[in-house]
Amino acid sequence: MWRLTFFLITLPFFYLLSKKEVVLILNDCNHWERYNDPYYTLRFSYDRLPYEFPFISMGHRWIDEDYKLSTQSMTFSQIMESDPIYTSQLNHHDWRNLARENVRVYILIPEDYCSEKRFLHDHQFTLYEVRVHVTASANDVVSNPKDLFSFPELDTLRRKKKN
Amino acid sequence: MTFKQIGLILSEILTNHLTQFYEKHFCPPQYKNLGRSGFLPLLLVLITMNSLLTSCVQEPEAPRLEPNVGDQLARVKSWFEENKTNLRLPERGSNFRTESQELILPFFEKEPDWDQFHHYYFPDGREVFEVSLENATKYFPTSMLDSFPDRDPAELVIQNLLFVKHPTQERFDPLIARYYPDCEGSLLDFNRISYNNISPIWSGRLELFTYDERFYVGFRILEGELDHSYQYQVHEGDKKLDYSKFDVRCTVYYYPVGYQTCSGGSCHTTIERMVGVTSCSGSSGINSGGNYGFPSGGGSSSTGGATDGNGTCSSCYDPPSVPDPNLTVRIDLSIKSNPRLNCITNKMSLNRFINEIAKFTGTDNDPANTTLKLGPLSGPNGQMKNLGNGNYEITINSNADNLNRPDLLIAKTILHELVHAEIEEALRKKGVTTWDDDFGRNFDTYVKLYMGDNDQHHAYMAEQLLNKMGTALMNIHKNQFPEDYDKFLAYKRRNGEFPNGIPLDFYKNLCWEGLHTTKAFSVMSKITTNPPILRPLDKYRIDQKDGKELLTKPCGG
Repeated sequence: MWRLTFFLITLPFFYLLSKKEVVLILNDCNHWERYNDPYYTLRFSYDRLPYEFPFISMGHRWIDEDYKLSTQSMTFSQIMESDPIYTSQLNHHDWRNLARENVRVYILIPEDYCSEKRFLHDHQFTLYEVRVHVTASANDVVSNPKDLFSFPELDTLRRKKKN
Repeated sequence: MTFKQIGLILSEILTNHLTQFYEKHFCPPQYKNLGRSGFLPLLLVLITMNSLLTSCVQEPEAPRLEPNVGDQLARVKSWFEENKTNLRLPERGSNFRTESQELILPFFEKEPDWDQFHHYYFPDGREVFEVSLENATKYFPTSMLDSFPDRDPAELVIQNLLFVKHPTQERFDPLIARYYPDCEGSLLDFNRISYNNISPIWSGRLELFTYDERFYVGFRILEGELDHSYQYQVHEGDKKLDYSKFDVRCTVYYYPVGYQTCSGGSCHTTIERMVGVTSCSGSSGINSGGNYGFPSGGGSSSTGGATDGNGTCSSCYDPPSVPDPNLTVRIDLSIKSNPRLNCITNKMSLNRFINEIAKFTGTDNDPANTTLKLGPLSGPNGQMKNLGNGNYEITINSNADNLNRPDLLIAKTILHELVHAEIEEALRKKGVTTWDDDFGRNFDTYVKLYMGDNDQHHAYMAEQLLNKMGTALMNIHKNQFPEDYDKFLAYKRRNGEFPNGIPLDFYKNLCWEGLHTTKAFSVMSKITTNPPILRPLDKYRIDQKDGKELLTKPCGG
């Protein structure tokens, strides 16, 4: 009972705290290719290079204003205070987990990070909210393969053509 | 101590202690909240939670009707009341036609029980209300007297009135559906059987009659599967049959058919006569495409437009065409209680390819062979589980990442899992499936290629079904999410792309996800092109990105 009471009392806190934000610094600047939206300015995505599985992409793009993504301005010291994540340190597993987390992801783009702006005092960087996509190698599973029908021998499969 | 001070102390305790507790036990350490939660929002949440908790007083459940369904049913009722005196086929007034083998039962006035109804759609999108005719005169075949010697068969027959909405006009021409169970194990009540939801445990005959009791079409169903359909053909003159005139899948023969009705505790024969019967194996032997129309009278009803025999009367009774009855996918409460998922599955159920695989039903207590539910999965977007005996369970991942995707991509995951279930079912039925006329040969081919491969389902999907799945997804997008489709198309056209509409390749590329381990994908990904022509793999990557970034959630966020 006390567990239930504790859970009910702390549930709203967890809800608040679970709405997190995370800053990604694209520090491996040469490993990101920018794709500018051909119609809308300041809408873009960054695709991880080389193009191999899993494809990783982060998009600051939308065509419906209801799905508009936000931006933030921060100095570099403020960014560092937010415990940012460096993309060079993430492996495929981390990327998948990040894509699955219910977090708002902001990026510091490589053009800003790998530039002299980082060393300018109080320079305001723009952080862009993005949607992280990690293309799955298999986006579903067939549970308990041993429970599936056995793979038929070639000559046991009745060829019944319908119609 | 002021309230503000108390608030600050509480806020500090929460920030320093509960946050640490939470991060230690629940939160990955590398993600840290950038903003600090103030006391005021916390208080608001507490008040909200309090009001929510105190409002959770259990109330007795009352039957609820979605407002739009209720309104629509009222319109059906109103239309029926206005038109029921005209619901007789013109120029065929006699109840018992002796000059042919057409079976016509004596007409009786019908008063539906409007409180008991099923609501669903035919695969072509026509809306159907199936209303109970429980208290009306019931006919049943005389053979039921042998099957149930100590029972009154009339009590065992389910008798309903199908109101099928006309595709273009505000009319709901009815058909009578009678469900004759074979045995005790197939005795079901109204809630557990309907034309769109034949239970896998049910065996018996389902017969359709026009409103004025002319035999329309019958189905023999064995354990939920359609064994054959039959119609009583008009046959003039000699009963010697010329088989060369008939489709080889159909057999024609004569036998006595008797129908009875009971009243005042005694049953008496009302019709007993020899009829010519055409019986066809499979689901669509009589009429192509599994669509059954009334064989005579005023022309095709599937094209709309009621007729009087000359094709001119817009207010006369026009028996609607009907598709095959089918098996069902039960929508679990976890999906139904999620408005967005419920909306997506409703829209999917209108798609033809999906309907070749399965029928969706929202009824809770039906023993449907496939259950679609929402639940936590560690990683994948969906999972299909074979429960044995032709039963399958499909789980759609309830995690935020999966559900944050656009509606069409969630529909794609459901489609993908349904195909897994259908492949299993086709294997169980030794190669019979509606979406692949030659499943056996195709599966053989792929067995030769992939014997020993543990990803057989995905290999088959990639090689044989990608076109169909892509087409299904395209039709769902175009017809069920038209605003999303139009926005995306407009965007692409502004960039000079897709001048002829969103191509099938876009949807096929969406369907490729999850099939990366297949050899087919490997072959596709190795295709090279000369710039500026994009490689298929590049197109795939771009389409995947566009799908995830630019498509929306018309069913709500």
